[in-house]
Amino acid sequence: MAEVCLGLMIAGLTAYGLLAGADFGAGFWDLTAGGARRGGRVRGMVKRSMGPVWEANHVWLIFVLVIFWTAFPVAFGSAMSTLYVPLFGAMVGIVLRGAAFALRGQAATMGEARGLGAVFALSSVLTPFFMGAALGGVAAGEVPVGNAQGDPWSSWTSPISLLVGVLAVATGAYLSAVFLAGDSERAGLPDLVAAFRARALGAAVVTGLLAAAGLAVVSSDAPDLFDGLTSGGGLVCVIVSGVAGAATLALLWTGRFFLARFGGALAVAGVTVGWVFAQSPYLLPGELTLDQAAAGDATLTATLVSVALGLVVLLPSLWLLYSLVLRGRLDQAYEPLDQRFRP
Amino acid sequence: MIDLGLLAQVAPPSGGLGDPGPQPDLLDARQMQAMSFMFHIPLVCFGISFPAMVLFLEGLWLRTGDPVYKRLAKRWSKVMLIMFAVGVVTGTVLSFEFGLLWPNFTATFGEVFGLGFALEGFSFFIEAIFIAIYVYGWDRIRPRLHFLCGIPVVITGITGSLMVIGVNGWMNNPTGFDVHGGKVTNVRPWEALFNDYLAHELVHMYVAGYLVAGFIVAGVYARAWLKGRRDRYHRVGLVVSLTIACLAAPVQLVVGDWAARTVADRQPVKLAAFEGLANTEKGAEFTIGGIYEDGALEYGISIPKLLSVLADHDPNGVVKGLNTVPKEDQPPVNPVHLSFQVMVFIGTGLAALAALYLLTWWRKRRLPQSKWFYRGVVAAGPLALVALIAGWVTTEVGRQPWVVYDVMRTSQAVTAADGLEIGYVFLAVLYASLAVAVFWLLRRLSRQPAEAD
Amino acid sequence: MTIKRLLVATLLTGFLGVALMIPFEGPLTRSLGTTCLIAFCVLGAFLIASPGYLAEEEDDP
Repeated sequence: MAEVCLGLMIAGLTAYGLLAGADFGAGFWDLTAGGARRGGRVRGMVKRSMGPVWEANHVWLIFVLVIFWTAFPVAFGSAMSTLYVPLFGAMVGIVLRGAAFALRGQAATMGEARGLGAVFALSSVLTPFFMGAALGGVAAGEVPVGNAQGDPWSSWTSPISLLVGVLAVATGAYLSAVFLAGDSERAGLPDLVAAFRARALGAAVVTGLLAAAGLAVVSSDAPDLFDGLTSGGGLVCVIVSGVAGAATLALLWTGRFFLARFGGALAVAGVTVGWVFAQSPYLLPGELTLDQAAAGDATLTATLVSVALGLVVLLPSLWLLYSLVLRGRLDQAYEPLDQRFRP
Repeated sequence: MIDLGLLAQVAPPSGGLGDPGPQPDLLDARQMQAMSFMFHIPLVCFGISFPAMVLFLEGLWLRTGDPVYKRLAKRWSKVMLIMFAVGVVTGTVLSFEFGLLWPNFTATFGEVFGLGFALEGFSFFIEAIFIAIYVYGWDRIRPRLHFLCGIPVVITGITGSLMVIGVNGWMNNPTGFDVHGGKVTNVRPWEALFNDYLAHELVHMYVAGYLVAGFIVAGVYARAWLKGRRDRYHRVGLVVSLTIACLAAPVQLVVGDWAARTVADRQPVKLAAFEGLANTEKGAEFTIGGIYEDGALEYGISIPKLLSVLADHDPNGVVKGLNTVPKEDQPPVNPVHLSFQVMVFIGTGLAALAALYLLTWWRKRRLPQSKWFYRGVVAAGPLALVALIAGWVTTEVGRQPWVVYDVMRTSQAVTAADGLEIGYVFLAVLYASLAVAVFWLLRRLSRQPAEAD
Repeated sequence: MTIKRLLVATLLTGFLGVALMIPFEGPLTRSLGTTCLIAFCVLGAFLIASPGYLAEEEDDP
């Protein structure tokens, strides 16, 4: 049962990485869109695409956290207390990102929109970096069991951690460009389709290179993890991820954005699932195996029962939301973000 | 029923991670948690009650076809979405703090209380999905279907708070586990979730949600009323929100009585702290105001036997005192006493204001005409908020020094990490700017003409 | 439902709720009492914030 709970957690984490990751990536494109006038069109598209979905996307994180502390309480307490610096950073980033995005919609002057936009965009880059670095710290075996027993700084500043952090930012940017290209196509805005297509292709190459560099760093710094990634289930996942990534490039090149969404998603999912295979049977590498970390059977059963019941309601609801979104039923009229402030 | 006091004496659990040792910043950790909570809880009130109010208006629109209801419902749903968005992120802070501030609490008891949060997570999910469909779906989804999409938002507002309050109830009334040799064993998560504190805490908080959100919204329209904006739009906004708040206010007194009697029964030491009662007394007095010094409340106005009446519904009932437990197990009296009184007096005042409104309607079928009534309504929103926070301070500080009542001390639960005060300052600045920004933009929204939606 | 019946139902649930909640402590009376009190709020809202009342114009300045 511990395996099923871990599977749920990883499924949740993957969903969070894909969906919320893309929302963070949208913030990256918002940040790099250029001046108030020039970037207005890109920013308007970012706002329009994220509006209806970002809150639901964000809830995957809550899902992961609660399963984590219910099913693996000791691992949760150890990881959170050791990695408190990056996690505090991520927490602050989440607050700033969400609040600034929600409030920007009410901005009345260009100055306000710019200020809130800058907060939104900057925190969209910092948050996935911190989260990636924290996950990297777990993968690199920097978290000992105990109450804040690991080093508060070196636990998340190893080359692996930093690389995973940057990879998280790049992945989000890549996914988001793919999604935004599709949304722009649906909105009938060819200039934005071209802009996001170019960004998606660029980000795909950068992400692929970072992933390859990541493998190289892992092979020298964490040989056990590297062995896991290059054998058995881990290897399969890495290959799936690589193939899906290449296929997405081809789909983007030929302008098939709807399919590219799923290719991109598969490429990212391959990495998270591969990571789990690579560090099995450990939850905290070198410290705590999955079975040692698991809560009692009564709790695991209750968690699985409630998750099963929850999914019965959740999945149709999610399907409804995304089908409404993808069919454009919730689309608001498109306007560049600087439109309202033009004389 | 297990005697938890005895249990704690036999085997105080060291916890899944072991004792953190001395944490000089324990108070900073508690303040951070309290601050995060105080910021989040008003948003929860809006999450609980605002969807129902918006649906009430939309229902009126569907029944009558009068566009004024739709305009108002749309406007309110915009505010609802902003409140929800800010609530999403401030709620996330609370989840993080379970690990960042209280790792030993979560590591030890996560498997006991975690189920509540897992279910809450799903509620929250459904709420996020349907709130988006509802707010972005105006004029894009058929009216009846649109109305139906609002119903899950109302339901998940209830279920979500049910689960979280189940966990808070469990912290005050821990059941569903045994402690053997310093380890938590035989976990029964469903029993833990449906503890004996769930029902009254849920109802008390739920009604508070309507009080706080209702009076705050009514206050906005009462201000407009005083400034002479008395058109249909403002009248509807005022009457709907004020009616709901005024119906909830008297009900809250009855529910509060239920809560107080349960606390008197199950956490007598907490009740003693409400009223600074050092020794067990028969026919105990109730003191208005006062400062607790050397085992008694000084400088207050005492009303004989009233505490016994409140706690036991018997003027000669016996109320247990603080000294039934050792000094180190007693909560700090002054903050608990002060916040308890603030809650009770504001609650009573709101009920009086509500009675005036309801009686005027009953006798004369019109709104009260006195300017002072509307000034009272303007004040009622912030006051209801103060009462809400005071109520939570009462129950949470009254639980101290325990994080899990009579089982684990707050000082055992805290993180061993350094630098909590830096995080505290950071978070305080963050919340202050967030509060200013939200207030500023809601004010801006309220000044836009309604036709702009 | 006519206004009159709604008024009677609101008052009835209100009084019944208080009568069940204040003197008794059992789980049954409390669940019934709470239900009555919630019904009081819901019925009261429909009673007072009715389309007819909401449509009235303010006569005084």
